[in-house]
Amino acid sequence: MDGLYVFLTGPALWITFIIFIGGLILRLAYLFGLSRERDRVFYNHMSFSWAMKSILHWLIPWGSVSLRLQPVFSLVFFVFHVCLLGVPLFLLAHNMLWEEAFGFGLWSLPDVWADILTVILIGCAIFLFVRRLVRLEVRILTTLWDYTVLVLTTLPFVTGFLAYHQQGPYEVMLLLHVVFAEILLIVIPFSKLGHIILFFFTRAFIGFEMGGRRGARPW
Amino acid sequence: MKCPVCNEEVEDQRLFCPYCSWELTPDIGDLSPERKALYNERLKIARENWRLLQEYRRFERESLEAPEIQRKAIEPEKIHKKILFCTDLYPSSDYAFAAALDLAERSGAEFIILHVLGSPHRYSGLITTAEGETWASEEVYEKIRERLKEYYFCRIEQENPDWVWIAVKAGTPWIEILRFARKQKVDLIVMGPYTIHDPRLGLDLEKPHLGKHAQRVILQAHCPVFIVTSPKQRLSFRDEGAKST
Amino acid sequence: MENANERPVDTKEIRELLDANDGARIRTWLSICSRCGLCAESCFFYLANNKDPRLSPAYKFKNTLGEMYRRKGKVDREFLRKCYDILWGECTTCKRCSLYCPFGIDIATMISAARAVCYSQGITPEGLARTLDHYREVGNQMGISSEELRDTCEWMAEEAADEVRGLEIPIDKKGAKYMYTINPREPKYYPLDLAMAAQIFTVARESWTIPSTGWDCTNLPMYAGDRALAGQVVKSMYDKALELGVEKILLTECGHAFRSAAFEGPYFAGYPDGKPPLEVVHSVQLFYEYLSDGRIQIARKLEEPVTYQDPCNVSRNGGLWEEGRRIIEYLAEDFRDMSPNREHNHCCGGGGGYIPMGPEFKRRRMISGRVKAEQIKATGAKIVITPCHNCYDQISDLNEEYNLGIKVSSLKEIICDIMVIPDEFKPESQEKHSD
Repeated sequence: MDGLYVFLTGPALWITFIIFIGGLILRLAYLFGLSRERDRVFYNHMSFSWAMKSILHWLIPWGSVSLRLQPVFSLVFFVFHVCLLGVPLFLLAHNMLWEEAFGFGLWSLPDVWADILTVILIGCAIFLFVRRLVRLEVRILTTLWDYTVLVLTTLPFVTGFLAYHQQGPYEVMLLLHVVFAEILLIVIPFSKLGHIILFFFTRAFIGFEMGGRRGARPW
Repeated sequence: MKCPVCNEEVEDQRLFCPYCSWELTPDIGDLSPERKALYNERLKIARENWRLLQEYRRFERESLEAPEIQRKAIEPEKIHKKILFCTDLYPSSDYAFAAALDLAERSGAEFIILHVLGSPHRYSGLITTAEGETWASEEVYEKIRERLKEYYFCRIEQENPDWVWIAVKAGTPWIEILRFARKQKVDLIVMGPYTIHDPRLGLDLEKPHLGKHAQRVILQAHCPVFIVTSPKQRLSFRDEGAKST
Repeated sequence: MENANERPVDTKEIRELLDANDGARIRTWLSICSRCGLCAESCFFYLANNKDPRLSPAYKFKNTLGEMYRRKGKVDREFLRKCYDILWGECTTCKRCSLYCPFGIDIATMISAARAVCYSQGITPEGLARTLDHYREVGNQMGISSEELRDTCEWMAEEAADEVRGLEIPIDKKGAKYMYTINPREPKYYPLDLAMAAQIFTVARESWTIPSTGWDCTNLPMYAGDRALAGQVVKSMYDKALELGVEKILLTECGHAFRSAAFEGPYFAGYPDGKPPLEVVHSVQLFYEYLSDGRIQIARKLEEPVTYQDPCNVSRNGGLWEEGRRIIEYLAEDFRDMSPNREHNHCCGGGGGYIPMGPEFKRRRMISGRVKAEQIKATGAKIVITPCHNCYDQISDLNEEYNLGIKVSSLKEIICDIMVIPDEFKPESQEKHSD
């Protein structure tokens, strides 16, 4: 168990991060290369201010007409992402590990907050899962992979929460937490989860295309 | 068999009566009651129209000094050299046809029968036929030409007259009429006052008015335009608003 | 439905097309769609058809272009026929969905790419295919020869000179400021548009000309999926403009034309920077200029309530929604905007080639137009003004189908009706008549 844990938080973690960051960089580089050839329309009409507006209006809750049409979903979706990014980055436990390994860490949330946010995140994830089942226009598009990815995204949080509160066999929970998190990180660059970076590019493009060229507001 | 409208003897296999151009239906026995009623109404109207047409022709002939129809022009300078008759294929233009034909015969003019297939849109060029909306293709034009020939040539005394020809166009009627008239440099346009959309109402149920296409043709044609109404057209001094055509 | 071509599908050709289109954008869009379903409510097809989930934009592109890429081009004719129904029957490429997608995925571009694939296998709507032959032979969708165009221009100049003295329609005048390009449906079916345009330009003392070739600014091959032909059409227009040495290309009131000449055309015609060689001006821009500069004055405003239909390719995809509205403010006392409006206005249902596609699609067009019909009814307007031929015909149809009781009009028509004709242009024998 211990050996496995050391492996998972040592070499495996390194490999995971390399794949995660390297994968994203590679994906971007590949797309950049493709675009030079076939997407001149991207470069011909660049406009920084429109790209910014296009991105920012979709980063804030109810920032676009589309989000305002589905206000509850927008809120849940926004909160889900905030927790998704916030909890792992600002968790005391994680930051302690960073400090141990690299000598620095980010500011940490009080554990109570981390708990609350995690529960909220799990709640949001359940809402999103149910939404996929219930809303017809979403269900018809959703594939098994979409459900899987949603579950996969939530599992590190569930297992981490359970491990922290010492529910279930602690070591197993911890291992599962690390394993799921690593799988998640490895999957990100090669799936739709790549949107963590690509969101900015596609939004910038539509900002150029509709806003820069025509002044139409894509939000 | 006897034509039910004009009572003339007609060969059995004819589709149209050559005298009054009534469509000879083979057997009305197996039509549904509604269709039969509709058929009977149409028959009634057609008989009445035929009667009026005969009266009108008789009146015309009796009031002329020259009883024979001459192909030579009477006053060469005043003749119309080319007469354009616009038909909507409804009885509303039947009297206009009679008048136009008469003028053409008397002045030795070239006589053109034009029908414009109307489009429900301004720009699409689609036309409405019995089968629904479609583009105006050569087949559609050919069918209409045949129908026009059947309907009108039987009313011209001369067999296969070479001074009459038929044209079919598609689009907005008044525009195509004017375009055609300009291209062909016609001297005279003759048409009915409006088009009937529902023949069951008969000619005299339409309040006297000038249809949209007749109006535009009158206003913008570069030659004289004759509008010929039915002799039975009711006079109305009240402006009750025209039925839109 | 399609060119009666039962030959087997050429998967190699399809693969080549897919490869050529497999740029960063399409690849990213296909992989990043997170199936959130937000695009559904943006599409009027979805809204008008009782929110049938198969009409959400994501479903449409996933099951056409998405499938084509997934199967790496190995598709059969059966599949392409299903695509035909979706690509042409359920999408007008109005681009409203790209405003509603969190990632800004441009579904219309993917639909166009898929159309190109279907077209390469001979599958395209009959109504569009008929015009393609005309384009190849004569250079315009209605197959009108230069002589016929000249003749129509002469006729209209004669007619219009009755109202505006000294009016001329100059053809091929070198060095004019604007080269006025038109929709061939104008000379073919409603040549008064030419007369009205001439009246407006004459009163505004404009320097303009109509070219004898390259005068068709609409670009139906763009919607049929024939990119090469689309490029040719646009190029012939640009080339003629350069040859005549005009300053700018002016477009009649037409949505497709603007999208083709100003935005997508340069790419079809092989201009790598995406900019047309001359500035392209739309009638809406020019009329706005005339009205705001006072070159055209209005004698009396319309009193009935008026609403403005934003043609997708003039407003949302052209950026001219404010100019359109400002023009209406000059023309009407009582302007009632639709809701939603401006760049978020709905497509009328007649664009993207839908009306030219013909009677086969009429039923669908009438059903999906319910959204637009309800918008119009809600404004309570009696006149709908729209600078687009397809919107014009579609709204006329909707008027009949849904008993809206409105009259449709183009900008030219209204302006000609109510503009002030200065004395120097008044015809000589001006009899006072009440109208």
